Amino acid sequence: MSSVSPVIGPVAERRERGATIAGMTGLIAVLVGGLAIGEPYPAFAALMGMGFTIAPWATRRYLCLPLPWALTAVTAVVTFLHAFGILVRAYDFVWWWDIMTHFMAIAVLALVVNLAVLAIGKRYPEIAIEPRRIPLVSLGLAIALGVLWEVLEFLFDGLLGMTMQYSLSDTAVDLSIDILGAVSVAVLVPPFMAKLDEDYGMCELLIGR
Amino acid sequence: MSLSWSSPVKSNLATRLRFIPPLLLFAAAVAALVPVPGGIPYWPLAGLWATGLAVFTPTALGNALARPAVILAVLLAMPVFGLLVGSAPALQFALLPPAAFLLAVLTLGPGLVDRPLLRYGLAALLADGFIAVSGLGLYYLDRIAGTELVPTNDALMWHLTAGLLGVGAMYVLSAGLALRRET
Repeated sequence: MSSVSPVIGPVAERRERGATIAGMTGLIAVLVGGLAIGEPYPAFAALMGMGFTIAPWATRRYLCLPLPWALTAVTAVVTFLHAFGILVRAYDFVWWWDIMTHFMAIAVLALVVNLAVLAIGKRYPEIAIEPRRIPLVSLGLAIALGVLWEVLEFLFDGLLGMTMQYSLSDTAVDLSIDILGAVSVAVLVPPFMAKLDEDYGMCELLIGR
Repeated sequence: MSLSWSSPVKSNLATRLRFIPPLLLFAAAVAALVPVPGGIPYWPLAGLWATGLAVFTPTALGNALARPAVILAVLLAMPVFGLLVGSAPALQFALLPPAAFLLAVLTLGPGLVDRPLLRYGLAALLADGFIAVSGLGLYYLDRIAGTELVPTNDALMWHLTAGLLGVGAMYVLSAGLALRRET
């Protein structure tokens, strides 16, 4: 196995560690900033972001499931931009902020779904899906999760009196961006699926089993 | 010689009757295209999808997919009968998610994905995609053509919420039945 693999090896692990530390540092800053000005929502978003950012490292370490370091980096950037955007009210003042974070978030989500479906298929061959079909499955799942997100926002607004959804056009644009992000990943990811497929099943190299 | 319900007779009968499910579906699909006063705008889209299936895959609908095709035909025809008691719009709203799920099951078919649980899972994703894309499609049609098919955020969100819940329920039901058959 080459040391420049995006998944296995010291270079990939070093990059993953670097991206995790950078992301966690930014998110801790947002957390502290949110608490300092008495705003719970950005602090909560930062905490959630920390969980997402550390997930690839934890997955590699404890579930024997290596993920590409680039995924960690993109996740760190997206979660930071989301939490930071809430803290400085970029969602209210920068018209493209919502579009940017939605697109990046759904792209990360679709990538995660691709990897998760691939990894689950490796562990449980009886429910494995052919690698060439996985991007289509992830497209469907990403759209479904985008819809679920909007439905949850709608329910929170209705039940708790929050204002997570601003207008019909806001919801429609969010959903459109979700679908665009998911389609982009479904179009771009297939050439990498074979390589990722090869790289999985490396448990013994990761934890010496 | 008495006529018993033997396997060859049954098979012969099945062969003779296999034109019925696609024909029923075609008739119900065409009925779904007819505008209903106060009806939901997504219903004719489901009718259009069903018409395509009945026209392009009649053989499959008459064989392995006969049962879901007939159930779908009944679902698509119910709002027409609902017109008599004035409940057609409510019926359309309630029946759209199951109809979308069955349309997705028929579209994927047993040939494409042979494992039932996976097939129903993919069908649920496809049906949910239809719900989302149809909502967005009509929203953009409103913006372009000045119509009012999706007038408010609530209208879109109720469509998406009912779709998500209904399709999810159909998946649980279908997967549960498939598991029961396997065990």
